Amino acid sequence: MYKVKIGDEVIYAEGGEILSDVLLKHKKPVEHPCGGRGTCKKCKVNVNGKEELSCRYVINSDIEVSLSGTENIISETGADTTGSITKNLCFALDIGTTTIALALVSLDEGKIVKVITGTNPQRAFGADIMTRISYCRQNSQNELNRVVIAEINRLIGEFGIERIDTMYVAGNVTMLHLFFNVDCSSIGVAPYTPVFLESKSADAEDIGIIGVGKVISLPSVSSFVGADIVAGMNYTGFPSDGKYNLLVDLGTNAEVVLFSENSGLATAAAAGPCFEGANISFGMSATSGAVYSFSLKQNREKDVKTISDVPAKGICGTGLIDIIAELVKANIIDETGYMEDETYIISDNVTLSQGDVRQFQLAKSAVYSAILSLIKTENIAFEQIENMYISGGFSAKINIESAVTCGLLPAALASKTVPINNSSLLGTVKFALEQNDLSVYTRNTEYVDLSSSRYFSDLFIENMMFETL
Amino acid sequence: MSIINEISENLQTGKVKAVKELVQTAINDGIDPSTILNDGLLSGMNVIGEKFKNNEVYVPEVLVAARAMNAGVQLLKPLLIEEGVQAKGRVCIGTVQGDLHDIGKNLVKMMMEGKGIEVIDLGTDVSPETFVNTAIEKDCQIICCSALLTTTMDVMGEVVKCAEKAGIRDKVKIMVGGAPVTQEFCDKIGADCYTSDAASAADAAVELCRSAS
Ligand code: B12
Repeated sequence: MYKVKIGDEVIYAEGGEILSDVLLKHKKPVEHPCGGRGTCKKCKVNVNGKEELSCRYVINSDIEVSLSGTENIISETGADTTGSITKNLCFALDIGTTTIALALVSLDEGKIVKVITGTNPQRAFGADIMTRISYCRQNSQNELNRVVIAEINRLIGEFGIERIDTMYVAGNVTMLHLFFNVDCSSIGVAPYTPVFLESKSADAEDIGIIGVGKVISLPSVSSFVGADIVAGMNYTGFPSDGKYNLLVDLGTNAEVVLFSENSGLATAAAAGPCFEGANISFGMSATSGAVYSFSLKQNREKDVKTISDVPAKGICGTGLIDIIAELVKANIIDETGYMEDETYIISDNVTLSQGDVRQFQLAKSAVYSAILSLIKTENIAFEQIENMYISGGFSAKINIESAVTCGLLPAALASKTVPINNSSLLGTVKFALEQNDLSVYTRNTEYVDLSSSRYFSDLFIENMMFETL
Repeated sequence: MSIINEISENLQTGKVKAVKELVQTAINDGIDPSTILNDGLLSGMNVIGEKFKNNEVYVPEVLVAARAMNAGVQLLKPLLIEEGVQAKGRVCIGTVQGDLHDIGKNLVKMMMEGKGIEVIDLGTDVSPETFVNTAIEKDCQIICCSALLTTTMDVMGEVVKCAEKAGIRDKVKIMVGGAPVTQEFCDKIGADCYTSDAASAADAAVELCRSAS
C-alpha cells in the first residue's frame, strides 16, 4: 500500500496501480478524452512536482499529487428563462456526451423557469461514446450509469424544490441506454443494434432518480441519430411546403438531418472530438483561459480573445474555427492545409501545430461532406433549404463567416444559418409543453449510412482541402 | 530534366495523364522497365511518403499521387512480368471485422505498393479467418490489420490467436494500426509491429519482408 497525498487528503493505492484509476476510484476523475491510452495528453497532473500523464503513471511509492481544479464547461442552452414557479411544473433533461442540462418548466405558463447545467461525469471514461461503450464491454456499465444518475440527482437537488411529477429526457441512444441502465454493448460494434429506440418510461425511483415521479424519454431514429436529434427536429418544426430544413449538430458525432414534412434523411458524420478540444495540442473545453475568438488584422497583428479575459491557456472550438479561417485567409495555411512553419504562435504559450490542422481537416470535411451527401442523396438544390439550424454547446458562438471560410459549412447556406444552442433541451421542453406526436419526425426519417453512401467517400477526400480566394 | 525525373515530379503532383504519357515514352525509348518503376514511379511515391510522414502533405495529395503511380504501373506490369521482376514481398491488408473505415488502410496499401511490395487488399469488415486463410493461400509474409474504433481494436488480438491456431504464427508477421491503436496495445495482443502513419508502415514492412527472406 502506498500513500497518495492530494492536498490535505490522503488516499491509498496498491503498488502497480495506475494513478488515473486510483483517482477515479476515489471520485476524483481526471479528464480522459482518449480513454486512458496515453494519446490525448489531457490528463496531466502534478506528481511530486513533475508533470505526469495520470493514465500512464504507475504508482510504486508514496506520492504527492496536485490536481488542477476541474472547471465546469460553459455551456449555453439558449433557454429563455422567464417562467416562474407555479403549481404545475416538470423537468426537461438533456444528457449530452459532454454536458448535462436540466430545465425546470412551468406547465401553467408554458415557460422555462431555470436551467442548471453540469458536466457529464462519464467523461472520465472517455470523451466519445465508443470509448465509453468499450469500457462497459470490458468492465461493467453500472459505474457509468451510477455516475450519471448521481450527477442528475445533484442537479435536481440544486433546484431545491418539492417533488416533480414528470421528467422528460433526451440524449443520444447510448446516453439513454446508460440512463436506464439498459445494456449498451451492442451499439458499439457493427451492425450497431440498440436495445431500444422507442420512447421509454419508468418510475424514477426504480432507476435511482430522486424527487421525481416518472421519467419519459423521447424516441430515436437509429443508433447514431438519437432522441436528442428528434428533439431538435421538434424544436425547429417542419419547413414550409416544398422546402427542407437542415439540422446540423456540431458535436463529436456530428449528426445531420435534412427533412421536410414528407421525407427525411439523417446521418452521423463522426467528426470526432476536435471541436471539443481533444486531438488538438492546445485544445481545451470552453472554460476560462480558452481562446474563443481570433482575428488577424491587415498587418498580421493578432486579436486574441479568451474566456474570462485571462491569459490564454488553450483553444476551444469556436477559437479553433476562427484561427483556421484567419490563417487560410492570410495564406499562412495553404489550400492543402500545409503551413510553412511547423507551428503557428497564437499567444505566449499557445500554439497551433501542423498536426492540429490535419485533425481539423478531417473533422470539418466530415461535417461538410455529410451535409452534401444528404443533399445529393435527396437530390435537391441549396435553394430548397429554408433554414440550416446549427446546434451544439458552442453553436451560438460560432462565427459563421469563419465556419464557411474553413469549409465546415456550405457557403450557399451561410445566410440561412440559425444557431439554436441546445436544441435537444429546447425541443424536449417543447414536447413537455405540447405533448405533440413525435412519430411524425421519426416515421419518415431514413438513416443514411455514410460507409455505403455513393457520395461520401469522394466528397470527404475532396473537402479536406481549403478553398482559397 | 531526365524523363525519369519528370515521371517522379509529375507523380508527386498527381498528374495521371502526364505520368502515363511519360512512362509510355520511356518504354518506347527502350529504358529498362525496372528503372522506370524504381527511379521514376516508386521514388516519386517515396518523396510523397516522406512528406506525408512529416505532415507536409495530407490524404488528398497522397491519393492523387497514388492514382498516378498506379496508372504508370499498369503500363509497366506486362514488361516487368516478362523480365521476371519480383516484388519485395507480399502482404495482405484489411480493416478488421465490424469496422468499415478504410481511408487509413488504403493509404497504407498505397505506401506499401510504393515500396514495391505486392499488396492483397481484403477490403473492410474482414474476419480473422479471412486474414489467416489469405496469408496461407497466397503465401504472405505479413498480415496488416487496420481498426478505427475502440470497439473493434480487439479483433486484432483475435487475428493473432487465429494465426497461432493455424500454426503459421512463426511464418507470418502481424502489423497493426489505426488511430486508436498504440505500441502498448500492439505489445499486449502479441502483434509484431505498430506504426502511427502509413509511410512508416511501409518502411517497416520492407524491413520485415527482408528479414523473412
Ligand atoms: C471518415 C470517418 C468516418 C467515415 C468513414 C469513411 C471511410 N470510407 O473510411 C464514416 C462517416 C462512414 C464513419 C462512420 C463511423 N464512424 Co467514423 N470517423 C471518421 C473520421 C472523421 C476520420 C477517420 C479517417 O479517415 N482518418 C484519416 C486516416 C488517414 O487516418 P487513420 O485511419 O488513422 O490511418 C492512419 C494511421 O492510423 C495509419 N494506419 C491506419 N491503418 C493502419 C494499419 C496498419 C497495419 C498500420 C501499421 C498503420 C495504419 O496510417 C494511416 C495514415 O497515416 C474519424 C474522426 C477523426 N477526426 O479522426 C471518425 C471516427 C473514427 N469514427 C467514429 C465512429 C464512432 C464511427 C461510427 C461507429 C459512428 C457514426 N458516427 O456513424 C461509424 C461506423 C462505421 C463503421 N462500421 O466502421 C469514431 C470512433 C470513436 C472510437 N473511440 O472508437 C471517430 C474517432 C469519430 C468520433 N465520433 O469520435 N466514420
